[in-house]
Amino acid sequence: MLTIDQAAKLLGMPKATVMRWVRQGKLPTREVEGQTFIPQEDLVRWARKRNIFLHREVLPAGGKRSSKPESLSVIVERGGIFFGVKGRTPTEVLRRSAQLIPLPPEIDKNFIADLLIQREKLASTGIGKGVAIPHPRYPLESLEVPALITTCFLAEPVDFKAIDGKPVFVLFVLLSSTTKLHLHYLSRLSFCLREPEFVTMLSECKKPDDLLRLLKEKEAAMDDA
Amino acid sequence: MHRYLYKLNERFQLICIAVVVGIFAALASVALNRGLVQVSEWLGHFRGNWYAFVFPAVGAALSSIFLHHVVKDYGGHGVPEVIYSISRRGGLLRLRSSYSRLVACLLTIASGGSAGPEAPVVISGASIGSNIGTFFRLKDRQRIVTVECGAAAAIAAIFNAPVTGIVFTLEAIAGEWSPTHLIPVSIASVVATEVSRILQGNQIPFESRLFHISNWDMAACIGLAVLSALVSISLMRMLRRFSGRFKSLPGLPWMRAAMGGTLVGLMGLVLPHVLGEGYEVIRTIIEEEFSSGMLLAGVVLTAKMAATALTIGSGGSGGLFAPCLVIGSLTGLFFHQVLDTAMPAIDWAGQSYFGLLGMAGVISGVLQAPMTGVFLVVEITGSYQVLLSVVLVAVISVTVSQFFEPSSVYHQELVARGELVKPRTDRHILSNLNMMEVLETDCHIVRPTMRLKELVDIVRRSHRNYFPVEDPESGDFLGMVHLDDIRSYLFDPYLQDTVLVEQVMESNVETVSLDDDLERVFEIFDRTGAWSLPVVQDGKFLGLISKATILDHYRKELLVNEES
Repeated sequence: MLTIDQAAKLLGMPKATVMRWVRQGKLPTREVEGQTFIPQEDLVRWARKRNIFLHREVLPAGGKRSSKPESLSVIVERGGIFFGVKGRTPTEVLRRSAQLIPLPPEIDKNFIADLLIQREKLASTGIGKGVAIPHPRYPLESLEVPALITTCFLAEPVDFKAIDGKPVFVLFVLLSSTTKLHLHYLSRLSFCLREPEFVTMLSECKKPDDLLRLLKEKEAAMDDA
Repeated sequence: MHRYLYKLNERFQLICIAVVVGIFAALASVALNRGLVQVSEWLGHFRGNWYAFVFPAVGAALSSIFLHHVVKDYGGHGVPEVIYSISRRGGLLRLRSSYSRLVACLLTIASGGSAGPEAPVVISGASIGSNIGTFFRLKDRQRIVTVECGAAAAIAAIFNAPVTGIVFTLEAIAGEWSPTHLIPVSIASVVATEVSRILQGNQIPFESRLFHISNWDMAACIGLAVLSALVSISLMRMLRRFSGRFKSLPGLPWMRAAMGGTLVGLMGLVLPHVLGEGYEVIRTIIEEEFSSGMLLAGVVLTAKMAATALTIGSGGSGGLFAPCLVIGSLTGLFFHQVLDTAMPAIDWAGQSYFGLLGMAGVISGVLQAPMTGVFLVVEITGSYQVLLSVVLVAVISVTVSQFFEPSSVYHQELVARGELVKPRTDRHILSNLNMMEVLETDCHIVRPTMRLKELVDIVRRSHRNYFPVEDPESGDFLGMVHLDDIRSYLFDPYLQDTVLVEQVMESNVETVSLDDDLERVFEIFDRTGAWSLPVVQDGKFLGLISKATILDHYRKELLVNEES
């Protein structure tokens, strides 16, 4: 929930203008004990629909949550590992995968799916070797949960129009709350994927523990180096 | 109740409120209708007496006293007030407006004044809608819709004509057709019609018989359209002239109203047709029982126009809908008699047919709302077979009328005050923004006694081209330094030490104040070609206002106004 002041900063408009918009009913608002607040998700959706730019850096980055990066295996375990995810197109598998992400019930999973699909439409997240890392276009500041990666092994490979043209067999759906964290996990993940044997072993994973063990070994090697 | 409503989606929320508004607005119009019947009936016993001519005077005076001294509301028929409230005040209307006009117009019309009950019902309905909207704590944008719902419901209920309610509201009051408005307005209209049918039965006010329409009749329509447009124009001009005349008379408002009423009463002694709302006249014409020649029809037509202009122009309370319909039907009757006399060989479709078309022509011409005219006539006469001719007459009449009178009778008043703001126009956006919102205060203020050298230092640190100059002691605004004007001297080391700011500043600059509206600001921008103007209040500099910032705000305002 944002106060009028915060919303004004986010919109880059004077407080007087935002207050008028609230009065005229042009902004999505919610009233709590006589005070007007603007739900952040609603505002983001509202602004996106109207092509209005939001000055995102003013958002409280992650609130009180620690923004210290965690290890890959921890956030992969948090996101859950799933096998046999069905679908024939990127949109289908993204929609299914979004439903699998362990999120608190108040977060609309369809909304997350929309974000992933939107991002996918801009440019493929298939990074080659049959791997894709779908993620939303902007980090989800409002997400009141720590970063996570949901791993989805697909029932059958799907063409993501990846750079090397190879069909994708596994998705690492990455959700994080800040750009900084997002880049950190992305670089760690791509470091692992750079090695061909990692990818081969990845394709041979049959149960969640296989993947976690693989990641732990890889990360240990990375930290030693 | 509030809590449950808030949980609903905004559209459903509005639909639910539209139902409530529809019911209450319908009750208001049924009450007025019943009241009119009762009071007219009671007064009818005395109608035959010689002193009957003072009735309209007494009624108009009482109604004026009631409006101005008892409830202290504004005069006039109220529709411009509704339009103004929608365009500028976020749909706010006073609660007392929901009944004040009803009582006032009851007094005016029942006593014989030539006016209609529709406009007063519109403002009552609108005010009911507005106050219900406020009760449910709606925001401006939604309250505007409930106001429109009220207006639509009122018209729908009083004419038993749901589509007319919808069309009139969108065409003449809202001025825009969009689904967010259309849906709740339609719901309110339907509900109100139903309520009125339950309470007073479902009857078509002026049921007409079947016509045999020949090609000759269709051709004659064009002539009637032009004639009804001319009648509309003269009615509008008469109204304006009479109301100007009466306003220039000395005395209190109720005295003027009484004077107008007396004149109408005197006319009524000779021609009783001109008194009251006049629906009896329409009924006789539609039933083809109005047996008068061309001359008498013309006389009654002129008299009715004069009586209407007198009643409303002198400050009587009431609307134009009913008089327009009566005048329209008389126009049609007159036209028919002329045709019959000039070309007796042709079998014309009858006075009823032309009366019908005349109503559509005059209503459309005066309100400059063609669809309202079409649907009103079709719904109150129940004859869809005349649709073709009615559309033809309505659109031609509007075209001709607009050629001579650029704005409708409802807009005239607002245009005269410079307050007509149509939705989705430049003016609408500019009227939304106020000076405080676009004021830029991050300016470097300079002293008149600074040397050019010091100014150069400030220029280096600033990202602006304009520098306001203030008197260091009094803090008064003295003028502006515009970078473009001094660029050529800026880097001359000799001048830097010898020239003072007051020597390079422009002291004769156009300034604006916080109370100015942006329309005036843009006039100055356009006239002077400036990019920024200083905002000065009581001699003190407050900030700058620049085209660039306004563009940013303007664009945001456009984006925000997009319907989701």
